[in-house]
Amino acid sequence: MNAPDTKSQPHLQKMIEQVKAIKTGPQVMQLYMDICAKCGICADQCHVAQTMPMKRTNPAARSDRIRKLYRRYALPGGGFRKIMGSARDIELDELENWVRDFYECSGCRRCGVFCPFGIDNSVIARKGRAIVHALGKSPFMMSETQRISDETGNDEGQTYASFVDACSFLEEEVLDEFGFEVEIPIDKKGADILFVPASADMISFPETQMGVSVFFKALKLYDGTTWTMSSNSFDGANFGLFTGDDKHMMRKNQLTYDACIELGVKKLVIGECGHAYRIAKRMGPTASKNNNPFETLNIFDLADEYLHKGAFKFDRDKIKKKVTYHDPCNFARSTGIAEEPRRLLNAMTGNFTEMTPNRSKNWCCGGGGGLAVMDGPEKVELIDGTFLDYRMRTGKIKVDQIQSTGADYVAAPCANCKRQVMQLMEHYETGVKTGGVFDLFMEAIILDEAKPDSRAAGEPAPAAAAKQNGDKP
Amino acid sequence: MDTFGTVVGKILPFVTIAVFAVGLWFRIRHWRKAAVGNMALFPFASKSKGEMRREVLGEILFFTSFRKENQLLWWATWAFHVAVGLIVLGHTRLITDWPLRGLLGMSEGAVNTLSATSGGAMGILILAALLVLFSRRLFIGRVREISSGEDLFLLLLLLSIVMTGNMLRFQNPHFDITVAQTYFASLFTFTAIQVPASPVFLTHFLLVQIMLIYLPFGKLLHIPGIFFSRPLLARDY
Repeated sequence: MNAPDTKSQPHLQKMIEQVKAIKTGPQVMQLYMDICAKCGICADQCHVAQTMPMKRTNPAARSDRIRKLYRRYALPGGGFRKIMGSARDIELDELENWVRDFYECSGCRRCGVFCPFGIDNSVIARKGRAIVHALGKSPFMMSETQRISDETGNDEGQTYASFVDACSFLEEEVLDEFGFEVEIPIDKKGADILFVPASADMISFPETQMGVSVFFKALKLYDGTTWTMSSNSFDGANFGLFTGDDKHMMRKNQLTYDACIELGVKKLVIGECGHAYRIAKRMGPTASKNNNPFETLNIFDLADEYLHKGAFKFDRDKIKKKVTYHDPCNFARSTGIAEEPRRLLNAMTGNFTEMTPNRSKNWCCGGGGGLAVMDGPEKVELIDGTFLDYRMRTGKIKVDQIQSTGADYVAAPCANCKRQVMQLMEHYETGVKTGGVFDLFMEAIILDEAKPDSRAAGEPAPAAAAKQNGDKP
Repeated sequence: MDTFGTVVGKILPFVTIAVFAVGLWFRIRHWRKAAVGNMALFPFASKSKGEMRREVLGEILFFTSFRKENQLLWWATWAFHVAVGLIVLGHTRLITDWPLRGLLGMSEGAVNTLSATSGGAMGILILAALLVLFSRRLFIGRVREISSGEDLFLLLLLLSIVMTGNMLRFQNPHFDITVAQTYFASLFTFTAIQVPASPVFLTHFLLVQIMLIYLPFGKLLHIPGIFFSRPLLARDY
């Protein structure tokens, strides 16, 4: 086949330029372009390749989409490489194919766990998405969410008023349902901790945010630790990671950094949101390596620290349902958070059961890489059906994995995983409930507000009395 | 035969060495010069530096990442790479057997026995491993769909190298190793190069040179590459 006339196709010309630019980019991409030995191990470990067995879902083949163009246009001897089959010409529908293929990868990096060279195909897929994004072809929901986020500072497009409303609504909910009087403080300068969840937790999965507020109440009762949320940065979710738009990613994380500085907190604590934590901890302005005046950690780190100190008293028989834990990719695989949530779950309930495989070898739910928020065809031209169809199909492995545990409740501490697993459980009619880890915290905790050694002086008793307002400053 | 011998034995070796060394040097220099970048990679380097170093070493020596998940492939690739390593080591004898004789004090007979037994065993092992890898590429759909001409070219090249090598090892009468030793000594000192007349030797030598010339330009870059990509994962944040 002859190469299409790229001169008359400016977008193809731009794609070639962007692929060529890899050559002057980060080392990791250079290596990934050069060293794949095509052993095929990744295909056995990818949920997409397993549930939709065809060439384009094979991780090595997907990465080859970029790799073969890179070798054709960026490396010397492109013509010879083409004869050898390790390079190819750009095709007329290249861009359309890229959008579909790189959004069929959930970026869960399970393939990278088993790759002998440690090739993280999600880095390549993200590069592909970045090029797609630069050409204005990202799926509708992706670019739309980024637009809303740039406008309002959160992916849901909440205003200051609706955020404040949501917080006081959740305070009431906790009181009504669990009898704990909690406060969700907003913009409190001088608090010890700034807490940043995924904003989806404020609307779609309020139980998690409710549980978190009870958790912070428990910390306050234990040693007087204070927390706050920020009306400028209450959304750690960041679609810049998904679209490959580094500038957006940095911009959004900068809001969190600014909030930390403005409120003068000692710790930035990210909630149940894997990719938010990955960016906050390791990639953005708030990353630990930047030697910021605050410490960046995850709520599981914090919970684990206090659990170790013996700060919590749980009624371990309170949760009757059998609970299992789904390791979100950006916790177990990208930030090393796997044991902390397990220790917490085991402290809260005697009914915890593991799913296999787990930790860094856990299967992706199928909603990673931003896929979980996409339901329709999202203006992606070559997609078969809708993203919802696709997710329900590729999530089958997760469904089987969950069902074989016999659990009634899946704790999936990530807004993307929660939405995807929830939809899967409905679609396959399993009757299994989905939620976060801190949803359970609120069920199992015994708040001993009369605790004598509590350093929060003036804290009135007793625990059960909902009418007390000891949590108010 | 004369021209073939001259080209393969007197001209090509210098081209091979130049292309291999310069090509590889350029590639590695290119990797080294590239910025490490900001992307958080898997796996998270939460362990101590010593532990991570051991993990990288374990991966390079024992391919631990997929040992449990794909045992057939693990045995075939591991046997193949170990055999390659030992065979390369064994071939140093063509240039000098000082490490064995001078350092370990082995007699010439003992060196011959060692290379006949271990060299012969590795020749058989690598052939078997290559056949497993080759049939995998042909008959397993998920592997076939990502295979290109390059993969087949390299497998066939390696098979030919191994088969001609085994012919030199097992043919009767045995190929006279001193002829090769004299040849390499003369090649490296540029003095009256005497190319061995054996067509099997020349074919074997030609194929090996093709492989070395190709190495900096294709997937064989995974050999130096793993020493960069694995430590990259183990870097400290």
